[in-house]
Amino acid sequence: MRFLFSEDLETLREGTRSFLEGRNPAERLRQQDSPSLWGELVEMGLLDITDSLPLAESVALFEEVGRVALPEPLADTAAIAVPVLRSLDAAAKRASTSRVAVCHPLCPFANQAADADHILYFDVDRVLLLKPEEAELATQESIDPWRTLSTVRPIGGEVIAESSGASDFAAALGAVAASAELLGLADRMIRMATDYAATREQFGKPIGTFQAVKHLLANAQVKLEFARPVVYRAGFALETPGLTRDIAVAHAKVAATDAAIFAAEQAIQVHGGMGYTFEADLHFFMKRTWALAAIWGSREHHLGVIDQGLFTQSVGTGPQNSFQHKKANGS
Amino acid sequence: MDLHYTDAQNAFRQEVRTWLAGNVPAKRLPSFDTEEGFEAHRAWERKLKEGNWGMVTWPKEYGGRGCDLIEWLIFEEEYFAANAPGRVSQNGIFLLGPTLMEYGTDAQKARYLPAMASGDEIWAQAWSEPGAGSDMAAIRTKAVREGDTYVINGQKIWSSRAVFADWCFGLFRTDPDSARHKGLSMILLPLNSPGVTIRPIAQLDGDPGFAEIFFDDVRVPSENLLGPEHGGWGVAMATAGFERGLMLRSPARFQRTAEKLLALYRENEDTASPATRAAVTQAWMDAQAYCYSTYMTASKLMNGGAVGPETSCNKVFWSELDRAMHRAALSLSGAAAELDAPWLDGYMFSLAGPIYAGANEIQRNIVAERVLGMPRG
Repeated sequence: MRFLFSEDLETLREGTRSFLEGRNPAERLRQQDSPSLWGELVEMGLLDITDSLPLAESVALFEEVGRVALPEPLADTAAIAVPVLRSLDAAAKRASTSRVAVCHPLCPFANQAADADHILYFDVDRVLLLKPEEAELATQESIDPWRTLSTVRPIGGEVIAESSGASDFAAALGAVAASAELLGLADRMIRMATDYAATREQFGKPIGTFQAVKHLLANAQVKLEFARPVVYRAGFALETPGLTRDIAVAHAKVAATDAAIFAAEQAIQVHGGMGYTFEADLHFFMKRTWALAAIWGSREHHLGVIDQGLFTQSVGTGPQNSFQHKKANGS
Repeated sequence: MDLHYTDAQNAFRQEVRTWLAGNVPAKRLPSFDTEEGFEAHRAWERKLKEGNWGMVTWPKEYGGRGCDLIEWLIFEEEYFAANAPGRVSQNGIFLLGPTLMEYGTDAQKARYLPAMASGDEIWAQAWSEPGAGSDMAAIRTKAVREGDTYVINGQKIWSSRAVFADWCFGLFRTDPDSARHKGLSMILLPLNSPGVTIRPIAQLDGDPGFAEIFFDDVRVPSENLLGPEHGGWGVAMATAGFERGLMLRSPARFQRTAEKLLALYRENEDTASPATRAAVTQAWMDAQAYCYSTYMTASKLMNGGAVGPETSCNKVFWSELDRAMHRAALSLSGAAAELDAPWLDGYMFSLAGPIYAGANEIQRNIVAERVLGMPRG
């Protein structure tokens, strides 16, 4: 029992953070024609991160992706497609640098699908791998300027699995990656508001000196502190299908969504009128938050899973059931 | 990251479970805030000591088992699952004990810890004063050094367990010319010392759970100083760190309450509203979240890390969770919610949670200023 990332992972996280903050500062989010960082992400080894790290540890890196609201849809390929293809012994079906967009009943609008090398398409009991030209894409407009969405109707492609397992796995991977990004976003928005409150003056002093302002952000920080371990716990459950995984993942998505939405609401409040402008950077992070809150299972969806577990399936509750007692082989 | 228990941890859990199954009193003990209940709980502490379960994390020579923090969490999980009695010795074992371990001399550790673990000496806290509640640095009660003796004069208030306890520990102003955080010292003293007067204060439920302590020329040997003279603030902050951070309220306590709340919901499912069902679900999630967070903190500490100001988040989280859970339970209880019963008792006690151990407003200030770095002022 060790609820802690390794020191190597923390070093990797630090490196990833400084790379992402350096290459994707908030100003870049205003430059829609900014050259893609995809090649650099590949070079950093982030694309096949789940080949080199256990899924449980890779979660920490998506926190960093969220922190900078990275425009490149890294999670679709790195957090979802790579592990799913590997689980289906189909890793060879994509080039190691290729980009995969994902379309799933819980994520029905594929992001940047037209520019992807492949689309991984999940039905309830079937998985298809398509080229973008093997699908009819109908554009949908996201509130997030960096998410180019479309619905996907396959007209070709290859069936690579016919079971619900891969779809369930993708749903869990997608929800945990989105949850991790939401943690990073929440942290970023709290920090932005903290910085703003330290410089904006009213009544002759920084508004951050006022307790009413402090407590808004303290509350957001408390919510975040108690969402983070829930997401890490779900990351550890990813490899093992079953009720425990389903509930851990659902809990993670609810906790991370609540923490990030709450952080966004406190952050805009602290920014005052500036927070409601396009000029302040905050809106990029709020919009990514709203997007990630919606996909890979909304709050409603995941609360339903937990409700089922607690009231219908009678999952073990109470202090003796914090974790599974048996040591699983090979995980 | 490995969230499976080892074989040794599972075996330890089994050992705890077996002992508790054979020893936990079948009947709920009377409240330890009554004289009868206090002694019944002291007897339970002695029973725990017989099984060597007084404080499992302490070294063997001080009455412990040398367990690590994960084993402590396992012990707590079994303890709460078994409905074992509340720990009347909690001020000592959970707060002063770890502080002694860090700041005490070997002689002090040997003198105090075993008697603490066995329930032979039960401790009260003496922090707050009428003019020093949330603003603890405003402490005025003086301890004047005369040779190898401190002479204490002044008054403490809201001292939990002080009515029946044997000893107290607290902060006193040892440098008469000092102000605020400087010039305070942590001193340990027997509550039966000449010059000590205890005036019980009835709590919400009418029982004398806390008290005022008056000091009138109380003489205490200087060897009862814990940590550096005039450096008591740092010692107290370490204690407060344990209190808020990890030990005082283990997650098992809230997981057990959440489990009981779920059972209560099921009993009343026909009349319960969706709103309460949502509150019950949220309670279960939050109790789990507190558990995961504590395992993470324990792992960090076991890996050589330290507890920082972020622990102020804990106190806010668990105290408001506890209140919410009891509120939901009363909502499910219908007209019977008015009657004296464990959920109502629990609700009343849960109202104290956001107040004691540093009011939640203070905790939020600490989070804002020391975690987020917001400006003071």
